[in-house]
Amino acid sequence: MNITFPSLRRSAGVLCASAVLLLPGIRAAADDAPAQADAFPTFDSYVKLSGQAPWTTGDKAAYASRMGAPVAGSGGIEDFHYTKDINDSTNLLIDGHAIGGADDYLASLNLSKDSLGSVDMGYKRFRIFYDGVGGFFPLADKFQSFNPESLHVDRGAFWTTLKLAKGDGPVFTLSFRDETRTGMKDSSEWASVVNPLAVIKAGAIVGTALPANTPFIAPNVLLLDEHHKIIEAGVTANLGSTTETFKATIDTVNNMDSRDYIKYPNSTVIADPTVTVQDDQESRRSTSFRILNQTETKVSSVVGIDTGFTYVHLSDANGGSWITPTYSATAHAVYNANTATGIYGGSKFDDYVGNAALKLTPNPDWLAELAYRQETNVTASAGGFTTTSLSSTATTVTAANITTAYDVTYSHFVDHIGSPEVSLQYLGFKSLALYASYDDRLDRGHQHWINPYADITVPGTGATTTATAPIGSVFFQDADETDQDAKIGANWNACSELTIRCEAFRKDHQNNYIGANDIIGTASYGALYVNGYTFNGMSLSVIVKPAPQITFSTRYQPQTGTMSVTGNTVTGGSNYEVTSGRAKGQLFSETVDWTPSTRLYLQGNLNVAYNYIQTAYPVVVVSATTNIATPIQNANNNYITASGLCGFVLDKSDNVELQGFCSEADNFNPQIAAGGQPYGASFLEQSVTVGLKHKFSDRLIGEGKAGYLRRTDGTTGGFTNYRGPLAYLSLTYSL
Amino acid sequence: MKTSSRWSTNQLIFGGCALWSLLLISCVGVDRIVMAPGTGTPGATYVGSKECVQCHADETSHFAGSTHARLKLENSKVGDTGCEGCHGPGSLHVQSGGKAGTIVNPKKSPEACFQCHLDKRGEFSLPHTHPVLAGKVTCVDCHDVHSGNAIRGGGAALANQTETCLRCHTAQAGPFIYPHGAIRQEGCTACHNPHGTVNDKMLIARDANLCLRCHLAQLSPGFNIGGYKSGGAHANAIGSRLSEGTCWSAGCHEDVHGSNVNASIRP
Repeated sequence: MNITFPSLRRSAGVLCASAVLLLPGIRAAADDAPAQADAFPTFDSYVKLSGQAPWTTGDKAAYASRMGAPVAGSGGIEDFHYTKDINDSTNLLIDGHAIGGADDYLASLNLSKDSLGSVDMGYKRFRIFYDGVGGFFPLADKFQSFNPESLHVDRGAFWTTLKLAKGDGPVFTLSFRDETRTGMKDSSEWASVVNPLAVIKAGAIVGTALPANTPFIAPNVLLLDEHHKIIEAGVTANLGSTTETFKATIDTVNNMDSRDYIKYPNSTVIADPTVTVQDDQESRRSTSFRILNQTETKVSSVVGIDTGFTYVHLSDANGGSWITPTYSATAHAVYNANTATGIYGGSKFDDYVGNAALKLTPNPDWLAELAYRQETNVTASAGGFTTTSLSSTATTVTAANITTAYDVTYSHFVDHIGSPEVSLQYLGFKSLALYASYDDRLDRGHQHWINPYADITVPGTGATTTATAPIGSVFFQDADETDQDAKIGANWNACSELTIRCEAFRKDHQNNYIGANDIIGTASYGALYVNGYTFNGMSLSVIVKPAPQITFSTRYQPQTGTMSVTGNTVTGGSNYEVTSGRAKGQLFSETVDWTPSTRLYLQGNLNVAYNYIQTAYPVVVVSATTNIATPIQNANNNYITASGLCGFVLDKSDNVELQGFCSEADNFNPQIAAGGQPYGASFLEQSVTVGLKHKFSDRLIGEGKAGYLRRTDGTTGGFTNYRGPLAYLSLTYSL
Repeated sequence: MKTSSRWSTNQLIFGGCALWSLLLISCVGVDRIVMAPGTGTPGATYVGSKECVQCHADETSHFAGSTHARLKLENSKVGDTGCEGCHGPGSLHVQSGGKAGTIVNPKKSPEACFQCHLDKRGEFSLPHTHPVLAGKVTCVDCHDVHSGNAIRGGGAALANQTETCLRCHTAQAGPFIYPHGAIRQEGCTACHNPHGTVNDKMLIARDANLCLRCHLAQLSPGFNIGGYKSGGAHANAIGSRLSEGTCWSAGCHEDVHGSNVNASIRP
């Protein structure tokens, strides 16, 4: 039998036409059916066991950081949910999961009794993965990572809440929460810039000749040890037409964080930690007490009044050290200069906030709200630290060559902030909602600080010198900040096939800092510093449903902005406000949902972002005669993400889901490496997965997924690429 | 005869159509509905927001004045369906007495939010973001979707917006002896986009442009950063600080959230 391609096309056409003709019948049958005979069951109580494993090749730390799971795989109890009515009025709810490898755990219990209250308690911990990547420099083709490159931070929380809610009486709550963040994560504060071929000899950097002035990026990590406890008691009561809420909170923070980085990653002195690793450590202990009182009063069907008040008192103690190794030009030894050790001090912060809102609903179509917030806060801080320095003529590191200085620090900030707000909403037009809002933040503050200065200096000879703050380190200034935000918008359901939402906004934030002129000689005398920005933008959403089975959702968000500062003689003259930056962004998003039958859905998503920030470029001129890249160009943040999803019923016991994902950014510019750091991000990510959900019985459901993913990263020169297949399996059993 | 190993156009057309048709026809004998995640519960129908008030008074009591209430979703049969605009049709949830899995719960999955906030799906898919798609952080951890403008704090609200971030990021809360003005004035979003960016730490720029927006010029020409002046730590020549890295790297202005030892937020 000869089969021609035209006949094949005809056959295909007939088959398709038959399928399409059948669709309305399929849908009608489903719509008319009171229940789905073959529906997958939903379980009251269940346990879900699962495991996933990748077989990827490439950078393991990058995979874990991006995928949120270890490359070694993970598995365990993905979800446990148990609910039981102990009696007619008492319910028990237990939730949990325990996934080994990913270190993701949860155990929670809630016991509630009608007209009495509830007890809620639990513990959870999950891990976030990071990679200790220092970066890549294309001219030297050098990539550096921390050792170990695979990093993680564990976040944990224990909580318990007692709630007493008897009848229509007041509702009392008492809660305790203890949160922790511990582990290591990468930092963007990359370390010193030095030729990767450099070595340290006799306390000096040598070997930087080739390539000349090659910058290099070295890894830097943060070690977190953070504890946060919150105790809160509250009561909410209805007093006539007023709902009254009162809360008292005690909040304590106890952090001891530090930073490590490899200063000269390819030097020959890595074994010497005083040179190769810079350790900074900072502790913070704070206790705050907060009271809050809020009232909501419905005066009538037209008028409502809300009021609120909070007072916060916080006391804070700091400690730690900032250590920066430096090198004496003449010393024949590396001297580890303690930039700031023995840091001590703290702050006291008192904050008073009151607000009131008048809500008017003259008829169901109008809603107007006039609100005002007033805040006064005072922050008073003081402290100090110790510094040491080596005599510039010293050839040995001995006590006699070291000078110790005791520095003091001080600041005092007062802010009086008024924030009026007005919002308006009109729903009087059929299928149309109109709204607008405006708020302002007017901060009239006073700022006083003294730059750190050595009040006591003790050279190696033992003589002590004391000094008061030099007048040039004393600052007084008045802050005048005005932040205006306005928006106007409309939501229009034109018909069942078309919905349009549009919102335009403007943000105009202007800050002036005026040096107090009544203290002649201070560093701030007569000075003016201006800093502000203005952004205009909009968001347009269009939802089109040409047929009940298909929806096109489109969103377009353009915005532009300019930033400004006080200029100088170079950029426009002293005391003139000059433009310091421009930003432009356009974001287009599209989602298409198509359900050709009740047994099949398709969804496609696309996001395209075009965004840049321009500041120094092209103001910066490196050389007028040579073609050398400027040290900084525009910050481009363009990207595209796209995904597709298709799910369908395969037979009475099986559903299938197909997924595809692609994301790309191409902002990496190696050309800039000749003059600066090529920071722009560049990557390509692609993945496909196919999943099968199978009903073994009315009490057991299984799910399996298999996929393949690939990531190439131009930002790291391809050193953090990975690719490979991965699989996931789960079983859900009804208890 | 020489045959090509590549698929021909006709084969692709026929194969695709046949697969598509079989896919559709295979469903005929099965009585089960499937829906894309976040779009609703299979088989459920709209019941109206009045049903929701019965059990969820806390969530519905302030909803009328919220941003999401303006979506103005009316159903000719059951009236206002504002709640079901995000949670999907609620009939099965009501019939089951609130059983889990019978209604869309944005607290469990961001898919419901992505139905309108399409751009956020893209931002949360980027390499540097809060782990929302991984299920470890949810939209409602930061947003009060049932009241106000859905962004906690700001305007005339009692709390300020920064408190949302500092609830978890306590190390950045201060107060510091020398705070960074950007946090005092604009809060965390002056430098970060919490929904995700292409840059490390969700920064809106990964280079010195981030700082130069506000610090292009200082009062003293000797500290000029972006201008033509040569010499000094911030000058623009190759080998200068500006070419070496970000402002907050290499022992310079590292204490970006505030310092206890230096007014220029240096260590």
